[in-house]
Amino acid sequence: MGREPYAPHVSVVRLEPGIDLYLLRRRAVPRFDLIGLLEGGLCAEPAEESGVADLVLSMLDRGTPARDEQAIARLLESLGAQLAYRLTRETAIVEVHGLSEDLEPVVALMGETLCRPTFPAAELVQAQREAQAALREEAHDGFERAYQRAAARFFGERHPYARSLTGAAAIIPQLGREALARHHARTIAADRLTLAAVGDFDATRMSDALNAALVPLATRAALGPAPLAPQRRCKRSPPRRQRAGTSAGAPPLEHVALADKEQVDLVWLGPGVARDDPGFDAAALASFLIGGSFVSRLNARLRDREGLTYGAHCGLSGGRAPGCWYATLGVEPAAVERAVRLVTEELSRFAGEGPVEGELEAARQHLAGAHPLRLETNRSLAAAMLALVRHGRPLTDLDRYPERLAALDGEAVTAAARRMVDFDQITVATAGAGPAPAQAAAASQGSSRPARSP
Amino acid sequence: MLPAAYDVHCARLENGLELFLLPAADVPLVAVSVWYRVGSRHDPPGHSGMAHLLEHMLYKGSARYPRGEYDRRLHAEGAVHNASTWFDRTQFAILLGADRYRLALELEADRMRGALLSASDVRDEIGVVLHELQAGRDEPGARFFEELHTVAWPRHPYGRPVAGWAGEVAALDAAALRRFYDDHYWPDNAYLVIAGDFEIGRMQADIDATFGSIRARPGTAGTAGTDPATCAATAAGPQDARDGHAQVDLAPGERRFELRRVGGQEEITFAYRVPGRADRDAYALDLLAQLLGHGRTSRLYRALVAPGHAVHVAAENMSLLRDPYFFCLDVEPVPGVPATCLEALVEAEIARLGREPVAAAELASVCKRVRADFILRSERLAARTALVGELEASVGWTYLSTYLERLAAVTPHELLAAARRCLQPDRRVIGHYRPRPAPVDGGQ
Repeated sequence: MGREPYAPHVSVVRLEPGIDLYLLRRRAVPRFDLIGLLEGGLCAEPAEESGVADLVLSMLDRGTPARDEQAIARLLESLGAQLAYRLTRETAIVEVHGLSEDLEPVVALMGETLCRPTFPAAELVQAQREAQAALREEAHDGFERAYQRAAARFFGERHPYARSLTGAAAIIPQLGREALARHHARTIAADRLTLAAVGDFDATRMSDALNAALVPLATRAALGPAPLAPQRRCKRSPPRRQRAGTSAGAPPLEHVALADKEQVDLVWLGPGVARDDPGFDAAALASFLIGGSFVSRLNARLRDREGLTYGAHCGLSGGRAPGCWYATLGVEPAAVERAVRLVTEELSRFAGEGPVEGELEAARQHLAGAHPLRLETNRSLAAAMLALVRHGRPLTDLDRYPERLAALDGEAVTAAARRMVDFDQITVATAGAGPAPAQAAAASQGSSRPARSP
Repeated sequence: MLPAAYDVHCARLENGLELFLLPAADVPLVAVSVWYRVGSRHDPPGHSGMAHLLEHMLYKGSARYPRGEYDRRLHAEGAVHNASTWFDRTQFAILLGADRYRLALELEADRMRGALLSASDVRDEIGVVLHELQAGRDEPGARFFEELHTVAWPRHPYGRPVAGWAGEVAALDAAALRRFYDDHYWPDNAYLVIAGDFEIGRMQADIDATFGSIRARPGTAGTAGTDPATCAATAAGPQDARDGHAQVDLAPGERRFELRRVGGQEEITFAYRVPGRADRDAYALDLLAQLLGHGRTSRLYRALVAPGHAVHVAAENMSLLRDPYFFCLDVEPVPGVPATCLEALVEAEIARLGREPVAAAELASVCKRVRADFILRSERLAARTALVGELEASVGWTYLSTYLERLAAVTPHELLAAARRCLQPDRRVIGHYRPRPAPVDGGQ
């Protein structure tokens, strides 16, 4: 394929159960990658069954009417293939890859596990053990804890963008086979599934394999559109400043103390922008300029100039829902106050003044140059195709992303930054060494709110 | 049969710089990596972290590219770049668009001899490295891994943390770094591994234009000629004669340690000290790792996880170094299951490997899995350069050309013999990580 554009080579096939399959052939390595997006994800999980969505996915390949867990594993492992299911806020994702010579048996197994799981009781116990182990890991992860604390405040504790993808430790043991079967029935259907496959295979061969594998979905009733995340209740505080970029006060701070830590992880959450929003590209570019690389504003200041951190990072979490914009970094406990002050200053300056001369052009040039790197693998190409389809973008964007970037000017980027850097909505949480840094909030310029302890 | 992605074209410049080129037109990208035959094993006594700090410092500018310029130029082109220091080597890697690779060559050539290493930059960067060490110490897994090395290799450089001990790192200075740089960063102590969408003749010309004018280390002659036949498997030999050579401690005797911290999962690691990659048993050990701890059909999964004694198991032959290293089995117990019970179960499976030949079907399945994994991983250009580069740093890149054939030729009896030789109790270190409860006011 080399330096040719991708989009003209993508074909679309409507499979018999009514599922769209996007296909792209790449012959360099004798492998295939297949990704399926099922709408719903954590948004389709009731809060009182927190953990059921992830458990269903982790149980899919542990038993079908035709094979037990060992028979499934034997088939996959004997071929060196991989089949994985994972959960995101808005989707469930199935990913399959293997050698091209093994395409049919692997795709058949994917269909069998997706459509006809039996949720064996003994395997459910093991899946629950794994989930609890994952939660124990999360409990001691500074970034996770700070993010969860900030998200609970920003979205509300029961909101799907705030809950743990793994679930709630107290609820997981109560989720039985019936709960899993019920969730499977209410979330897996042809009208919620879109597929993309990239690799060294013939299109007919892949679509034939999938038509055969997904026969059970053809007989299932359509479920209709998947639920989306509810709108966040916007909790505005009395204004601490006149407008973005001027004399901003640091936002309120919450701390989770973790023993045996030497650093403190800090997380800022602000209003996000949905992928379908016309302002998304500008928001992504603004976020990139603030903290998306080692030469970004936050890293230039806090890493290079001040030596406070190994690195800062920013991103957008949203999909069809706006989600949030976030920034994070780790510092030693004594530097928390300073880090909060400096990040606040940098955010205020960027939202107030926008990018300086040359900064925007450099970022556009970088992102355009990095674009082919993001499409290096079959998997990344398949995922990019599905993301474009999901958010109503044309597949030509695979090749024309630099043109989209070129259309963004400083004004659009500054406006996007002001949407995200809204200090009346931003929430900050810290987790790690030391007691609650009450002094951090007290020391922040102009803050009228007291610090909160956990 | 080795995938075409690993067709390696090799050459050598007159200054001794070796080239390993893997052309492939699958994607419009080029992965450029420069490998120096120097790693943490070469840190002078009492100055641990020297090689790692120098790696950081080589981003801090030269006369031609002032501080920040290196990052700025690569960033502007959308390149992804990284560097890493390991026990035997240091590498700098750049992935970028195929039409821009010349920039990567120019920057790397400049880095080889042009670093400024100013005292103030060194002081600043020590701060960054201390942050990195601090973040690492916050991870129970990283602490555990560090302790494992200290216990397993008390008299070998592999027993020191690659990034160094914090106290020693804090005391490093610009003069010592300069000496270290001048000892090791020369074309005849380095090699380039490049994969991607390029034409070989053009690439060689570009490399010659950028690196060719750098002289070889004073006192050495470089190596004239570009005959591919002359540049195979040279890694281990000459380096030993220079420095970094260390006696490997494989003295018999089981060693144990326990680490207790707040957070993380309980974990028991059985780390067997096994011969280096060049040893005849390396192929069998790769297969034994798959057999024991990869996937739900693995023996340890069936013996420990399926009956409810462990949450996870894993196995890996980590021996991809010049000297002996680890064959590791990791077990994450189900809370409340005693470690003695898990140790007995692991012992029983190891003993079985040394007693009963593996069935032909099980061996065939494992071989297919390793082959598939090898091919599937070759998709990324950076994975290709990493594999060739790591092999060259340890046993020589030509190891790759026969790897799959030799793996497929391993017999059940060779597996049995390797298990008996290498997986002996007196070759192992057993480490036990036990999370302790958080203090009452710990906030968890």
